Amino acid sequence: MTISNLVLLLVGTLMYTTPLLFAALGGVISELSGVMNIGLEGIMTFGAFTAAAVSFFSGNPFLGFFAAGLAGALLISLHAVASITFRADQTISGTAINFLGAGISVLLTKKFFHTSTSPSAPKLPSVFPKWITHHFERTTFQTLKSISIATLLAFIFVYLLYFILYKTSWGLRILATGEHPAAVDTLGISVPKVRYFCVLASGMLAGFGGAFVSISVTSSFSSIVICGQGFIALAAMIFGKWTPHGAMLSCLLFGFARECTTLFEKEGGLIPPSLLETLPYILTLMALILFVGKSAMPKADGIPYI
Amino acid sequence: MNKRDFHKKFIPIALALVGGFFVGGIFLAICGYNPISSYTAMIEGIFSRPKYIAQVIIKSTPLILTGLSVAFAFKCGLFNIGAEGQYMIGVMTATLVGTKLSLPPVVHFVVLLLLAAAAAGVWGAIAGLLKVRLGINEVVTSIMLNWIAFYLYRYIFAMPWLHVKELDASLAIQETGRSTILQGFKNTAEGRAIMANNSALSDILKTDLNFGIFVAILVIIFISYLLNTTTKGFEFRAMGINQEASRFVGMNVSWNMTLAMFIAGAIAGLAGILQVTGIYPYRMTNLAGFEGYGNEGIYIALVANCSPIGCLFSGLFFSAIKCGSTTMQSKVGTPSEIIKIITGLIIFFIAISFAYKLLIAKMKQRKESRCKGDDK
Repeated sequence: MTISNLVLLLVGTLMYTTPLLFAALGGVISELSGVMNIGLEGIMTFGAFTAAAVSFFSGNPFLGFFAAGLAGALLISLHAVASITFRADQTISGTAINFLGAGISVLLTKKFFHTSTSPSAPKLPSVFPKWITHHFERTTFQTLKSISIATLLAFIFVYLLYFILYKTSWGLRILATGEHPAAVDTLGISVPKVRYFCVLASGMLAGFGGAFVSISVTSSFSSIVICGQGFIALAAMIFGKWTPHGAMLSCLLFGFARECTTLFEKEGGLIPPSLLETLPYILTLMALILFVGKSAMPKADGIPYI
Repeated sequence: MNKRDFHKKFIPIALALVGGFFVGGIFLAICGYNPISSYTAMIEGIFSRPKYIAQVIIKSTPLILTGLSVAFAFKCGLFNIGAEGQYMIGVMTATLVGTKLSLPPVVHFVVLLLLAAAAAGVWGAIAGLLKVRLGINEVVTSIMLNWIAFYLYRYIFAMPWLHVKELDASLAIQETGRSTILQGFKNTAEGRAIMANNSALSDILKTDLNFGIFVAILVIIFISYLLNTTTKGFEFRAMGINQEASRFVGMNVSWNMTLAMFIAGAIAGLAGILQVTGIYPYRMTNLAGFEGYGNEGIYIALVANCSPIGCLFSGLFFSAIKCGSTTMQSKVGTPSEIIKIITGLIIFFIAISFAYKLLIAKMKQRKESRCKGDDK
């Protein structure tokens, strides 16, 4: 294991972690307020498409990135209306979002680009400014420049969410809405308002996650770029016991295992690649079995408040 | 079910179907495709030839079964998001037994069916067991198990004793283990003569005719019977409605939950088994990603309102629009992805429609209480 391999491990881990982290944070904020969000996959797909399309047409990846957040919020507003105002079964409307996100993205890709893969769009820049990456060239650290600026943003969001949820009265309201909405209601705080805010924020975050995949990991959108990451994020959120820092750790564990797999494959070894690929999933299962125990779901999660 | 109950259940779903197609049509028009000619082509692709109708029924089998698997789990208070993995385990085990064992015709199929369904059931039961023993949410474990099954599938698939390099597929399941109907007959001289005389029959025989749908119907009958008339079924339903209460009255919830996941897994596995034994080329194919039957099972169960018999109809319906959409894409060029949008819309409207029922009930209640107030 050389230093350059370690650097590669770090870079790869962060690359796999970031989209999951965005989406898992989205899941956390939505579910803490009491709205289940199984639609992360669809939102990510739609975000990935929007980011690739906007970035391609405008030439500005930042615009694409934020458009993806907006698109995510727009799509999830359907879920919000259904589950908060119409008190729908949240599994059902979340499933609807998954199909709508996937369907609309692919249909629009075919409409705009006449193929099933969008053309190459400008990517998000590195987290390090040019004058720093300049020094990395041809050193063991040169791969560091491929850490995207959005990765930093994801970790800032972890802290931000942690701060808001556990250190401010706003956060207390959100947590209370997920645990005991009736109590919140009697204090004169509008339960639907809190939930709408949280669900829309969740859509935005998951949209960012999708954007990261299409304009930072790759530079184009096709129907397979998300490929189950929304569901992994969902698992990471549950695994992280519905907390931002827990979600971060589980996403990092997952990203790390993914990158290990990639590195091992390159080296070639005793274990055949397709068995090796199961490592992240087996590791997560093992971690669940060994350390986690009973999950701490918010009490009113998934239950409409009447 | 009395007439009023039926209306209550049926009307919201019918409205959702109409709404899905209507809004989907608007979406098509916005994107510059003609909704009317698209839908016409879709309907033609479902009904215009005997072959198409046969195709719809054949392709509905895996949808019905994964739907039933999810619906059954829902009834037991579990969310089986792992049907995808259980499906793949079913395909895999069926192929192994179908290629490596040599048994007489009917016996071979039955052995294959039982072994592969059991394997898929065990795969499902893992999630149940982990939930019962360690309290781990079955959604997480199922998602992980899906991916593990996927890579396991690819691993087994690439084994030199199973993989056929020229075809990039596995060995074919022996004829004794297949669930086909009349596939041998259509290549005999007698069969050809009959097909030449009867165009409708020959049209139907050109499809992958198999008896999977009958197995699916039998399983539906079995599950309805299990849920509605047996003690175990009562325990399952009680567990779905209130776990704590079931535990309190002394039902063995832990065991029931594991068993329920086993059954759900076996049903999803059956979808895979019937697919690989009934559809040409009767081999495991190289998978680049999930086939999506697991996800489709979720909406089929939801549209069916989790009723086993409902799964038959919702499976047939979605199989029909799926088959129709391929014709639509080739005839008028409307992308078949519109199906996903329409499906999403239908599910969305169903989600809201339950709320409408609530609203109506509430309005009635308010009216009644107001009337009572007047009396005083």
